[in-house]
Amino acid sequence: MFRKIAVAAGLMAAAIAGPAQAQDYPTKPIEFIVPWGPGGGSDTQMRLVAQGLAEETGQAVPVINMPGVGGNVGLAEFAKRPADGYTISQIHEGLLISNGTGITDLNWDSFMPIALVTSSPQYLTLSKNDNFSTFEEMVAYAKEHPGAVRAGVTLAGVPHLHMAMIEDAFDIQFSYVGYEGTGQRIRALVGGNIDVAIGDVSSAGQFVENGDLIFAAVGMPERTAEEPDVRTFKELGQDLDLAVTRGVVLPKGTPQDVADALEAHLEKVMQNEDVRTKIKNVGSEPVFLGQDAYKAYLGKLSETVNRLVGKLAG
Amino acid sequence: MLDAFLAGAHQVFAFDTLIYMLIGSVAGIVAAAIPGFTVTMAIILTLPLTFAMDPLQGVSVMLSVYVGGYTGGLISAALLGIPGTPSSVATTFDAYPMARGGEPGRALSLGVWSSFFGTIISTIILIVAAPPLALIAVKLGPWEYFSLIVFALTIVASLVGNSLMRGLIAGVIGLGLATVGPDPMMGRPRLTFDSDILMPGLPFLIVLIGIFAISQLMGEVEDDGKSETKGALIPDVIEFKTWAVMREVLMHPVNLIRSSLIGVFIGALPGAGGSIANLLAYDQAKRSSKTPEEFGKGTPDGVIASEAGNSATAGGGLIPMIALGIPGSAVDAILMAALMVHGISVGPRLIMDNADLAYGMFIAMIVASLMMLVVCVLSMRLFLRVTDIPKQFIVPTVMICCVIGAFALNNRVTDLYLLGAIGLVGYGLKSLDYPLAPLVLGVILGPIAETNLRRALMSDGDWTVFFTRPISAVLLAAALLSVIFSIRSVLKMRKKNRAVTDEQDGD
Amino acid sequence: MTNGTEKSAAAGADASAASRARAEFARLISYIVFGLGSVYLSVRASALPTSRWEPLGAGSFPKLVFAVLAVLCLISAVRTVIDLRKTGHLSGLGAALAEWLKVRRFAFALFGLLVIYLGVLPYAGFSLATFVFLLITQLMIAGISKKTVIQSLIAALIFSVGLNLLFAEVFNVFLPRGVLFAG
Repeated sequence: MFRKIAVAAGLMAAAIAGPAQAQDYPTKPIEFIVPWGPGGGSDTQMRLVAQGLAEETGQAVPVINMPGVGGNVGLAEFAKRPADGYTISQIHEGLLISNGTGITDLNWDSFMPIALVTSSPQYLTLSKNDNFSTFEEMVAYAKEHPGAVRAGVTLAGVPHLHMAMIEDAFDIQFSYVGYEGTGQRIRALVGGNIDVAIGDVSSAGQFVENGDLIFAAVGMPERTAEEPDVRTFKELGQDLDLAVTRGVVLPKGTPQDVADALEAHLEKVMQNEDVRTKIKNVGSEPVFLGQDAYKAYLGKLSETVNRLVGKLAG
Repeated sequence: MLDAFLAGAHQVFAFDTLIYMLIGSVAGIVAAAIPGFTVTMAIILTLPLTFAMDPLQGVSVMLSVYVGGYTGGLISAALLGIPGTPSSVATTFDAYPMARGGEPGRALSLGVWSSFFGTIISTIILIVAAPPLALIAVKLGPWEYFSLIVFALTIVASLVGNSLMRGLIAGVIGLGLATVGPDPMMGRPRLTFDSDILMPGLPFLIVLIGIFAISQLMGEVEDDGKSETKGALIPDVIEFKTWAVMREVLMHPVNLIRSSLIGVFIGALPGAGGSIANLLAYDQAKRSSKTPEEFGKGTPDGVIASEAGNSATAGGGLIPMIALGIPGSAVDAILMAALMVHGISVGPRLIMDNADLAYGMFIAMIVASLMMLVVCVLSMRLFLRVTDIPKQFIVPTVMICCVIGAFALNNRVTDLYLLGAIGLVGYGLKSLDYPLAPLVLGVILGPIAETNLRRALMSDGDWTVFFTRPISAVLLAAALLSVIFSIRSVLKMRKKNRAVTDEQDGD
Repeated sequence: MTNGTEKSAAAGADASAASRARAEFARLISYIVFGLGSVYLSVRASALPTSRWEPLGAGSFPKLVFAVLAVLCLISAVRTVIDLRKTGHLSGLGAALAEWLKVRRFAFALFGLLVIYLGVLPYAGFSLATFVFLLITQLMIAGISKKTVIQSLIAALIFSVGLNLLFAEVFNVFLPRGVLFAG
């Protein structure tokens, strides 16, 4: 109790003395709101980033899972938190789509993007079936039989956007079956209940190695180190960028020097070999884009989403 | 294979691993015993710690939390009548009356031994038959899932208590409650009336705590003018008879094995899990019993079925994860993440590429269940002390724990308001003699049924597929049989009751 | 059997029949409430937009569920009305309700306190709100005496401030801190 009062008194004193000096930032634990449930990709990767950030700053960085409505509950709560740099959160492509389809009013520019930290390459994954076993065969089959290829997606979610991008670029049409999450999609793909889906190395890699599934193409500018035999969409004739990128954001209105300090810390975290290895282990790529580059990236992504969002709305 | 087995054993039996596992086991039991706290929560808390451990060591610790957690729920179910975890709902039906009837020690011992045997049986099946079972599980499409849920819904008849009609109403209310919130396919809000509180939907755990815990705690402080209301909840006759109870459990081999098998199969289906297995096992035990009228009054068979059933989902849940790298529940997903962080890819090749790890996990399961047994037997006297604590402390404190659990689930303040509202509804329903278990069953099964129905029709617009896919057809036939059986037994009961009331009227 | 016992037995049977009738009446109200609610929700659900991705939209399943609920409630209500008309006496409803509430006064008081507690929690913070809630409820259930006050104070302190510290410091789980101590 006394300790609590002492802490409270200290906080009040700090509040009276004005915002903490940015060069000291952080002087207390930073809460990391992950707007998704435990055990998923965002949760695991952000826990690794949080651990690195804690080591880097010497302050605890507790992860708080706040799932619900595709990440929007946690972000709505986050938007109300004080903009002092002691609450941070994470966004990915899903937020832009939720905004586009009208599920939330929040968008990427409702926050202060600080750094893009991980990027998970997404693969177009085919089930073993009689009709096609390569990308070209799939496209040919889909052109011949419009709507016959069943694609597993999260309706109005990131995989749906990726599928719509493929539809758009190669002028084909899928029929959609809704699933919740990559694990479910891959299970359905292995069980033969759907024909194509977006997958990643961590959830589908071993099935591909085992011969149960086929990686038809990867949505990265260059071939990945994990699956060097899988061609990129660029090689297949259309430059598609299908990645799930996760970045750290601050509430809007955070002092610029705090934002810069956090950016600098995160840059060091993303150079930490241990963090890099672990992020690779869970099937993602450690990257670092600072505030300006990240904003530019989100702006470009936003254009793509707005162009295709009409294809997603149900 | 032997090499891998020995390598795995060597790692699990390291001194520090065993100590960590012991701590994990205690943590799992305690977390599950407190209403509102869940195993998932305990495992999330251990996750960052395992980043710093060896892969097998980390997973072993998590498995001991996991196994302990499937048993701990029994403690508050038996002593307070509140399921400590979603998977111990059916345990309250018989363990609580037994404890109230003056045999709390026997109720706990029965549950602990059944849990132990359930875990062991499920681990054996996991070792022997994981790959083929996982392949079957993965072949099941939305049609089979939907038919399975239809079958599972028919067990409402076993949970209805005094009135079939009110049981059905409660079950359908549960189905309805689960439709509030984001639509499971598109994520668009429905029936939320633009309220921030309803926007994320009604989380199943909040419903469970509200319906069972809050209403039960309110019931504890009812004052019907009789004297003992301010005393302890349970008379303090403490007799464990640990070994005698072990023999008692083994005297029901059919029930034990059937319940464990149900647990394994339900556990192996991604998405279902322990919260259904205990109810299904209870239902099957009741139906095949020669004395179904004893169920709900403190029969050992009810405790055995529920506890063996829910603990067996521990091994069952690992089947798709170890064999195929497909997580069946949030807990499995966290286990997988813990392995992947260390650079172990989890998938169909895990048993081939990392055999020592797979065998190590099997060994860890067995060690964890032994630890659970030892911890429970040694600490049971301590747990029974809970019943000596006067009501004025236990009722408010348990309520606080429920509030913490409800908040910590999703860190949402709005969930707390839901908790209060649902608690009042639960109390009202209880006062009007509505059975509560069907409502919870409805909330669990509703979303699975809806999602798979819609998914099935998206995959293939043809309704007849439900009848032409063999497994789906078998499950639907089983559901039909189950309904016929229930109607028959209801009619039989009614005849019996009428005979009894006739006698009374003639008196 | 003497005449007297027969009479009291008859009176007892009468009273239990009356209380059963009252319970049935209370349930009848619940059937009507649930029935009307489900009709309303069913209508609301059918107004939900359909989807171009699937034959069943977001509204189909809830519509079905609430329609079934409405039918079940209707059947139950009709059966109860028939029963009540057969058995007849619905006397002393008001007195019974008062007695019912009196027996449950602590339960409702406890619930009322819980509601206030949950409402105050986000503003006062976990420690303070919990301390007050525990203290009041414990004293309400146990009655006020020197012994219970001291016991309750200690217990309330442990389970409010103590739990909060345990969760925050050991588990890194942050319970609502409240706006009183801005932080």
